[in-house]
Amino acid sequence: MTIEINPAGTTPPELIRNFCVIAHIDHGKSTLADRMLQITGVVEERNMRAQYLDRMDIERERGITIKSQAVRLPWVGLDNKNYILNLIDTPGHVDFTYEVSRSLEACEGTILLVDAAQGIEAQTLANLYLALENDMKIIPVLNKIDLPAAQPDKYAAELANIVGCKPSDVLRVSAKTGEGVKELLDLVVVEVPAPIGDPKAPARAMIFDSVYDTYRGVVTYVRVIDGKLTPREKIKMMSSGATHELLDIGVISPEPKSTKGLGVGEVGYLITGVKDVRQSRVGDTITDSIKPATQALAGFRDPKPMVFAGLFPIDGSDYPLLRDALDKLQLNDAALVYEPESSVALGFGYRCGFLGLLHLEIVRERLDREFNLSLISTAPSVGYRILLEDGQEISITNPSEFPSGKITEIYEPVVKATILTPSDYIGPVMELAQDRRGQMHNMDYLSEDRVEIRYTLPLAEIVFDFFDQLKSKTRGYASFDYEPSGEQVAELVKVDILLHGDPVDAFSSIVHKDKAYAYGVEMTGRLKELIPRQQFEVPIQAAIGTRIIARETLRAIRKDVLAKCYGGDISRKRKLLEKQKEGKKRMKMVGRVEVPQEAFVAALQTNADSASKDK
Amino acid sequence: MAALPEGDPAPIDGELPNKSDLKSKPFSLYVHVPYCAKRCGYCDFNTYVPSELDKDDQIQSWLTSAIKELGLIKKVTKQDLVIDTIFFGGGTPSLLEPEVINEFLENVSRRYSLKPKIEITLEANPDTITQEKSDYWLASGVNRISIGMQSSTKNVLQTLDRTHNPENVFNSVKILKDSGFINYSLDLIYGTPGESLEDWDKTLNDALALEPPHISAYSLVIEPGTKMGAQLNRGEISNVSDDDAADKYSLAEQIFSSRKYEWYEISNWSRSEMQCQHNLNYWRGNNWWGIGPGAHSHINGVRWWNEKLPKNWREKLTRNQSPALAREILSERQIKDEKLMLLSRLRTGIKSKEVKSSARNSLIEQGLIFEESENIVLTLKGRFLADVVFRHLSE
Repeated sequence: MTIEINPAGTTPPELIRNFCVIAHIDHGKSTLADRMLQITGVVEERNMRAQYLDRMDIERERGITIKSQAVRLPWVGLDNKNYILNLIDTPGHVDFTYEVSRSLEACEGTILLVDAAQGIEAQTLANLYLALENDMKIIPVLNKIDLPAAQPDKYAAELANIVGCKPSDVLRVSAKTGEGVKELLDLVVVEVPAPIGDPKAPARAMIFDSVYDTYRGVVTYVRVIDGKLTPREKIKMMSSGATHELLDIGVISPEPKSTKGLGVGEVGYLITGVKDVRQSRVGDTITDSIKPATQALAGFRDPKPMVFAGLFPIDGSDYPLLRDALDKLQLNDAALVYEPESSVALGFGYRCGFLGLLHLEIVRERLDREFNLSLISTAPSVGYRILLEDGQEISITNPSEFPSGKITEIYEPVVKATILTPSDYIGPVMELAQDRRGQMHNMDYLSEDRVEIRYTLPLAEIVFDFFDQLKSKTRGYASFDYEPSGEQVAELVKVDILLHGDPVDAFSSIVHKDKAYAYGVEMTGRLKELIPRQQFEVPIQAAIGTRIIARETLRAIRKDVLAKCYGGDISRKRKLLEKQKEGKKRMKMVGRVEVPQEAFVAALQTNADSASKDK
Repeated sequence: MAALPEGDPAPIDGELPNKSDLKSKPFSLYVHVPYCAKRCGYCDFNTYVPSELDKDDQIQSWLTSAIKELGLIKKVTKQDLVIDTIFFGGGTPSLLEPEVINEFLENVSRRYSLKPKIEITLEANPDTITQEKSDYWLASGVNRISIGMQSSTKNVLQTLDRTHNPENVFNSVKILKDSGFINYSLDLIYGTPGESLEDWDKTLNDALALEPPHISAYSLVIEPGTKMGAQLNRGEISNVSDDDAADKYSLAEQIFSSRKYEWYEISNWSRSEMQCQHNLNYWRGNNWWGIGPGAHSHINGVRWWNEKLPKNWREKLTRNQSPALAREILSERQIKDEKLMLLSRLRTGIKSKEVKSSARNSLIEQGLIFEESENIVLTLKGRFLADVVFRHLSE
């Protein structure tokens, strides 16, 4: 029988090191975590599998981590003391900046992990700035030094320049082979400060993640700042005042293990039986309900949806399934918001709010994969604040809510964007940003041939295909990150698309007035190709209010008949007509015009493709 | 080649669920002769050129199997049928030696009764018509020839990959008339890529100069899997435009009606009483047996189709099995839909009372049909949009 050294709940803070890893997708964070699990012995060799900590299939397939976790690793330091290292995983993408910031808040130090063949990427840089703002200890590390394409000297110089150290201070590892990982763990012990807190004060623990589990309900990950949390005690969520009983408390190493509690500086999980992650929100402070703390930890905020899109089932009868699926996803995704929406063109669906584009994509993909739902989504849009002439102020997240009355001012959300690009592509990048109404702030050379450019950009201009465009204009080398940065006044108009005089709601769009014409020409042209000819002539128009800005004409159909219908043709012809009849049932009526659902789907899906052809 | 429809398995012995009353309706024979000297660029019929067939399945072996299938009809129907019409289609039936046609027809009349003045049609390629053959056909009982003229414009024939010269059509008609044929038809195709309205006008006038009692005119359909389909995919030719086809149909209708030809089906016009009785049987939902590889049959709501490959067709018959590949037993709904689909294409139209009055009124309002005594009939606009009409009627 092994005697556990430093059991959780009683670990002296001076033996604890809490750290995380900041890295870009594919730079090897999960592989590094795998090696640490192995080297510290918490996972036996025979139980090891790749990307051990990434739970969801999508995470493993896309190589990104959506939900962070914390894992407790025992490690004997160079001074022969038994340390506890808590590796706190951070989400790796732009949309989850807030979650990243809370994960960072739970640590005293961070490993900055960069691919030695690729150098630092914009998001990593953005997260690094977050860590620096938090006064965290940064340990710069180059990974994948075993790759033939690795350029460790070049990127060590770049990292040293960014972090402000000597190139020789940059540790070189290969998470794949394990080279340098022991040294890295030793360095964590030496470099990362021990947590400080008051063990006698009322308990305060910060929630840095909250995950819904089918069997256990919500699993909440916390970092204890002051005091101690113990099993069966009543805890209180300081943002809402809600109290819960602690049914279970423990650590992950790397499987969950109940403990007698969690003390100052410790990291672990707790379970209260709540069923919805919104009752256990990231950033919130947990305290003892009998002896509560008076002051919550700073930094809690509600996740705010930034990007909106309508999601509609392609098969209208799937609508109840979509509702159930969204309800289930929300149990595990506090940032997802939705409300019912109905569209003439697309039927019944939900208007959903997301943290950003990736969040939207992940939700769509999970709806497809886990719930088997075929969906069409409208073009993503953002929220606007509109001042009306009568002094009223409204907020809208859907072009259909755009007021028809006189407007004094419209405010659109803007973001601070960071773009990293090889210097060869500065021209195309600036051109793209300018085309998207970007305002450049500054440009810094990170190294001889890489620059960092900072912009303020309207969010609406990047929700669409900005990232794809950026990638295609820089042969995939540029990287991009943004964070919300308030709002600005903009000259925006709503462009409606009319079929035979009737507006098609799914295609209405709020665009900058200088782009209204191009949008109108684009959409009318595309619909002309997609909508079958009717028995009468159909004008397809783009309009701002009552003013027509573009027009195409769908001429009346003159022929819809098969010339030959002899003995051998009859079965085939009948089947063809049966199919057409089925198709007719799926037609949506826009006024008198019959439009196949597929035409709407195609028009919305090709949005990004054809927009990229234009430029 | 056009794919066969999917169907249910066909019974090995060709057994039919319903053989009653076969004498109360006309019963026709379709005879498929799937051989061609060369395949035309637009053709998606079940046809074979000699190089595609084994030596056992060349045109010379056709008769033996065809006669076996002829015998199967009696085995399956167990009735003394009166044959209403016979139609040799292809392929190129005129490639058969006239003695073969004669022997086949002799076999038919030996086993079955023939209706008095039975219509017997043979499709002929203008290149293959000789005086000798023509005389023989008439003597054997063939009394109607359908000539694949397609166009009188050289470049159009070239695009279609037709081997014949426009003059051959003129010569063929002369030969047929000299033999004593009264009934013959010209098949025309319009809408070929590169064909101008003037080209089509010339074709129409050249055809009418031959005084045919009957004309069929089809809008070209470029099917996937054909040579022209491949050319279309490669962008070498452009697809048939519906507007162009509509213009050309209008021109044909205008010229035909001015010359006293009346439409009796969407793509068929004739002088009085010279309609193709065989095709009318198809459209009226009558019964027929299709003999030959890939041939379709219909008896009392069962449609079946034969093995497409001559080899498979022959082998099944050699084993005394039905050569059917698959079949479908039509539901009441499908029977009704077919009736609407087929009868609506005819000048005689559909009985008004068989159609929902709401659909009828809406179609009349749209100018697609008109009422004539007890029937509804397609207007000219309705002939262009017959599939729209059908979808309305069958709702």
